[in-house]
Amino acid sequence: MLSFVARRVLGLVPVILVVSIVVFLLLRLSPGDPAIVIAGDNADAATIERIRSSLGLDQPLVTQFFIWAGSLLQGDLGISIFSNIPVADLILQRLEPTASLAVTTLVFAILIAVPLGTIAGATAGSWLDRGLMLVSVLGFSVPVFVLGYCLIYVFSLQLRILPVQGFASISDGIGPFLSSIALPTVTLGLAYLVLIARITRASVLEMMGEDFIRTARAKGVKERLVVTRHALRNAAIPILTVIGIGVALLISGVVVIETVFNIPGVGRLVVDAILKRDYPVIQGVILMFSGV
Amino acid sequence: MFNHTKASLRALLASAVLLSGMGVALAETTLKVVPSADLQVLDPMGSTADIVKMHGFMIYDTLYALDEHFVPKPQMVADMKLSEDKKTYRFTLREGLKWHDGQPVKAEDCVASLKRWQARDAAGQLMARQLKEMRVVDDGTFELEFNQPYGIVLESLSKVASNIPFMMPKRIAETDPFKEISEYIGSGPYKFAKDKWVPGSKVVYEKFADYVPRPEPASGLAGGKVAQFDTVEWDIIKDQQTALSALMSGEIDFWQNPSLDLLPVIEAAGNLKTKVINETGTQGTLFFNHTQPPFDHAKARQAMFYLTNQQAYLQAVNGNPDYYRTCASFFICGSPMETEAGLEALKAPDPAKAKALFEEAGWDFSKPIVILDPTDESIVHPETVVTVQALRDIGLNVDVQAMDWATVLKRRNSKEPADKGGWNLLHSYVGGQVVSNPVWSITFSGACEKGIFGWPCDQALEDLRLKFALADGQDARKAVAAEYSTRAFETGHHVPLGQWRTFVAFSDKVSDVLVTQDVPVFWNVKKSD
Repeated sequence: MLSFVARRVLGLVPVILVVSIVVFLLLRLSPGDPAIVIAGDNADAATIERIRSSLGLDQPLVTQFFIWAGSLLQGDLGISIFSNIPVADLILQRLEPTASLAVTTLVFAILIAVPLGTIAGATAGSWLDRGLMLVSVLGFSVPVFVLGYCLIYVFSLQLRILPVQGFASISDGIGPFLSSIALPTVTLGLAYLVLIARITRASVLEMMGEDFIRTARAKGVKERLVVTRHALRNAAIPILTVIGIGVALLISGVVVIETVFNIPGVGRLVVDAILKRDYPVIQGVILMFSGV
Repeated sequence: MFNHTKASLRALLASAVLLSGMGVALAETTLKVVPSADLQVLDPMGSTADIVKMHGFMIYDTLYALDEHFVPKPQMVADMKLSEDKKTYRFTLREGLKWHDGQPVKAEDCVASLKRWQARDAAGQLMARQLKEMRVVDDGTFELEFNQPYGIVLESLSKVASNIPFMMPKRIAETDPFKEISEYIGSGPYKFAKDKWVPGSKVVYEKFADYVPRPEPASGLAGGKVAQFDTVEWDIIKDQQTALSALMSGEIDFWQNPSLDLLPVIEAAGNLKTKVINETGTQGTLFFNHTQPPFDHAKARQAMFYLTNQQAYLQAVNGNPDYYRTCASFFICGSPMETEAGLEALKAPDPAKAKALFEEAGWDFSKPIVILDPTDESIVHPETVVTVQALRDIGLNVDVQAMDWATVLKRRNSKEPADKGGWNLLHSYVGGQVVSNPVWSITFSGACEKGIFGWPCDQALEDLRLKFALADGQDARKAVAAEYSTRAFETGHHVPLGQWRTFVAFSDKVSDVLVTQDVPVFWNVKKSD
């Protein structure tokens, strides 16, 4: 086990090295200049040049890279060009909301999708099955931002039972936390939920036609146990696979959700940094995700 | 029995005291604001962005400030004496002014702050060139002595166009002007709560208990600044729909920049109010690259004035005639320097004349004119579309290059030929205060490579800017502004595209929002329960 972990950690080194070089070059070679963004519209060329110099952006690319890589080797991701806050601190500030949203979405989606998919699979062709599948098609088709605004309208503006926006840390209490994360979780989780539900249904349906299910029924096992103990258990592998693949879907949706519900997460951090060309922040976040 | 009653009374009294204490804690007041942008730079000399200016007004104070009618009024200054030869200004500070760290505000702090401002700001640099000496007389008094009478001293000290001469302690003001300060200590009505700052999400300001407001009523950015809230919290909400919902649900109290499209929804909500706090607003601008053909020729630049239909630009950018107005003036209409001198072309668009001028400039109509089009910018992109159509309508070949705003900012500094990574035309917009006279910003410069991008090069314009600064009195300055305007048309400096106003929206529980003629400020604002 230890050698396995050691191999995985060592395997990270070339990945991070390649990612760091590629990201650094891509950013520096793409158009845009943070010194100009900082200086603003009324700045003359001399002012821009002095700001660029104070940021070290007037150095040759190779020098800039080695300065950054040197700091990185000491565990220092650098300092945001705009806020002057260490990048590691910025990421840490933003990690809790994003991680919380990811976890609650996963839990929400799995807890609802697996039972629904199982029922649909076990009662294939019934009205219940057709109804669930119709809802799943709708859920998969509605863009997350549209669903988000609809939920805000109903639960925040009409019923006034949940906040429109913002994030309350779990340290502020479980009530405020759940209240702030509920709508984003449902919004982000719906597409994920229907994906898992459909796969669960298909897998369970396939298992229901197997010989061992007929044998179980012949032995007099109750139908509920046939479905849960025999069909669902054997259908688990494709379900677990799609849950894993769906995590990528979840991460891409986080940026939109963080914007719609004004959640200060990592997604918004990196998008803002890209728009302003805050190089250290972009590099830091991408490196972190490549490491993960 | 008696002792028991006494003990009960004591307990009751103690409970009352405790509850009253809790009452005070519960009564802590917070104003929740959604600003127009995220605050990333905290040094008011570090950026000219409006959000940085708003941050500056929260925590710093100024020596002078403009009132609602653009008149400079003393703010930190108690008294000013001008020498008979009009070369020396002696300023005496108000008594009782303190920095947020509890130290008294001294004259040496103000002199150091002015020096830092003069290194970064166009008007500050102009002032510095005319200064003979800045000297501290005593802890509460300092002097500015000029080589010759300088007409816009108080106007410069109260200027609202960034960079603003905010005062800070000497040890902080002595930071290299091109490096960001690391302490954020001012003497304004609110303190910056750095430990509660989450970049991209939240900025928190706390009431500065030792702030002594001026006795005069607030007007514009001048007068008594009374902090009515224990805390002012800026929540950064970038999505307009989310900000609207948060305002309607009461989660926020004040929203700086609602889109004009949302005005009907806000007006219909029933619990919201709107207000125009900047009557002059924002001016659209078309800039030329003066170093590349065809706009290296004055005739081609003048042609663009004849081609400009301000109504079309304003309709594209704003769309609501109640909130926009055409304005044939380089200096924002509604400000004291407004003048139409030399700008008849803007009042009567004449595409045929524009075409003739391009021909006089010797331009080959088959060659492309490169226009930078930031498609992610909600004002500049529509401006670009209008210009492109106008140019095509007179038979010109236009190469519209789509990119993001950050790329435009980089690209506009390129002096390469247009077909080799340079450019011919680009659009922008500027706050009314920035274009309220010829000296506040380099927008009006004619200083060639040392001036604004596009590099307009005309010594006469530079001489007129200095003449404006030296002019004695408002009437003399108006005359110079008219001269500048005439000359700026002759050289085809840049084209003003009209102006528009925006509005702020807030809960109907909020009152006393000030008309600042610029960004919103949060002193004096009140909120009922």
